[in-house]
Amino acid sequence: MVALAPPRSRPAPGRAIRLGRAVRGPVLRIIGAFVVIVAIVSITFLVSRVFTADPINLFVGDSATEATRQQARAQLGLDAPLIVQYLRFLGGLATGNFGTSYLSGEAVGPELFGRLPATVELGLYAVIVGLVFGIIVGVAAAVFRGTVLDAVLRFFTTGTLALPQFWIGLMLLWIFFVNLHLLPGPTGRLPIGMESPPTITGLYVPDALLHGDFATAVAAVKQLVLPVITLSVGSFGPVARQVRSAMVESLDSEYVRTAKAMGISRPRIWFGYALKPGLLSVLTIGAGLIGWTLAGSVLVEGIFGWPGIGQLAITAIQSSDYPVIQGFVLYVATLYVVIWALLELVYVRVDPRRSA
Amino acid sequence: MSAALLEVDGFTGGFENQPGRIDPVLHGVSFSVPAGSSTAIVGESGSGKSITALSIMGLAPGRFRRTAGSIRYAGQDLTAMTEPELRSIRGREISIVFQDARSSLNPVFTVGTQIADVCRTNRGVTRREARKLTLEMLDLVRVPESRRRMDQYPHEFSGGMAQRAMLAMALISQPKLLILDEPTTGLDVTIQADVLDLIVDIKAETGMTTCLITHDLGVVAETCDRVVVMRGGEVKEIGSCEQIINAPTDPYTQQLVADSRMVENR
Repeated sequence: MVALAPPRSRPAPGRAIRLGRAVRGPVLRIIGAFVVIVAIVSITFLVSRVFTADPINLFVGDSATEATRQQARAQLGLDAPLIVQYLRFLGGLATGNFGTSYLSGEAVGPELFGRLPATVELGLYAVIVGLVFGIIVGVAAAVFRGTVLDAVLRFFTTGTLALPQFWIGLMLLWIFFVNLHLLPGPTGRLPIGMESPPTITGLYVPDALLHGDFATAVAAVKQLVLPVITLSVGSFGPVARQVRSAMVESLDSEYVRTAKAMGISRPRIWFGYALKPGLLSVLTIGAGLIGWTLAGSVLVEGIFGWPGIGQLAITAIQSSDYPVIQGFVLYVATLYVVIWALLELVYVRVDPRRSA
Repeated sequence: MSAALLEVDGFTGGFENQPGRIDPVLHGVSFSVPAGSSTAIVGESGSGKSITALSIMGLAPGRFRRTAGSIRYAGQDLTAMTEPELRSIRGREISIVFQDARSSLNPVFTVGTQIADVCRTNRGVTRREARKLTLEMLDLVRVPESRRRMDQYPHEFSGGMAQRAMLAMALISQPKLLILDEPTTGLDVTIQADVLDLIVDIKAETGMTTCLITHDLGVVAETCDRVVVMRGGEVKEIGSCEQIINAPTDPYTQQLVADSRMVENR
């Protein structure tokens, strides 16, 4: 006969341990995000230095002597070994110093953030327009699947996916500005000669409205219409397709059958009971699109003369302006990391099964 | 016997699996559900009993085509109704409890929200009132800790508890006819008995007409007064519960009764 040891009760975890467990998840996540950002920034540092042209030609003429070139290099700190440059760069980041643009001679931080509101204003409206129309069109296509409406919507959606964005932008300009004179030309955020409203949020439309300046608000909206449509086309297509396929599945589900059997109204079934279970996959796509939009679109900003981050980045890449490139990459990396972290939180709210 | 609340008359149809060709599944199904009765439709799987129930609700799968016959509810032909007309019948006049309540409830809304939604749609009450009525209904179907439970999601419910919630959802708009499609299949035997007791009690309280669809004669004996036996898409025999169980005339019914006796005596 084996004597059974009395079951030993495990002491309840103390307050410190419980707190530790609660904090561990978020702390690990923040550390992970930090590692990702540092890794991306480091890779960009190396790649930009190894694969892009020598920026020294920006400072000295083509005919400059080797001695002048060396002097310029030393001034920029480009004569030091790569590893020393890298450590200097990381040290600068740690103290919030992103360096000075080779091109403009201005500090990268303010230069980047000065352009951020333009990109955010354009990107934010474009994402909202793209998501709203994408969801509506996706739902309609799924509900009326197999009908003429579905075919028309599919044609339209595929069209937006297939046509290049710059072409759509140019066509819109040609139609609404050149021919119909309904909307202003590609002069940036406001017509030439118009003063920007005093900064509150940095977004012209809300700022102008907050100051009661309706004329400026209307002008800013008019400037926004075409670029917003052009940019939103990029998120509309993927969202509409994802919503349609998710909806087709859930419209055939038992829980939608239940909702029908209980007499629930059709709009409530479409946009609630059938849409919400499939929203998770749409959110994943949406998050990627938000990141993509807020990172600034080189093409759309270029066509419409929009003074955003995309234009800054493309100029920096063309002229090997290392500090600006690195600042831009750091911004985009942080943006994506933050968006995905927020997405995790939203997931649980949308689909309770994920928290279990 | 009082007038029939529901009359299925020569209902015939099949699945259009290929365009233009209909594979028949129902052959002139006729039976009636008298007001106030509890009628059972008994048959093995594939006998056409569930598709008949779904057709009553106008919720038969998209491939199903009616070729003949009618379904009359309180004198109105349901098969001739438009979708909006049907919607005013569903939930309000006729409601249904499906098999496997957990997958029949929406996974991303709380149970309370779903029931209150049905209540608001069919009874036109405010959000707050709907919540109160939902709570009362959950108490009525004996969901313990109803206040906490109504803010939970279906995946947090056990099968039996989800079936009670489903029942609450079907009952909250006070329908005159309740269809129960295999309501206890897949539940543990003890829970099955609890749910059946609950259905009998609620029926006794409200005087509602019920139509129970099952493959289990044991369930029928406990809960129903009229029995319709179906097989292969046809009605084989209709009679009172006593007659079907004690003196079945159709050979298939005799077989069915003998089989279920055998299970009981084992």
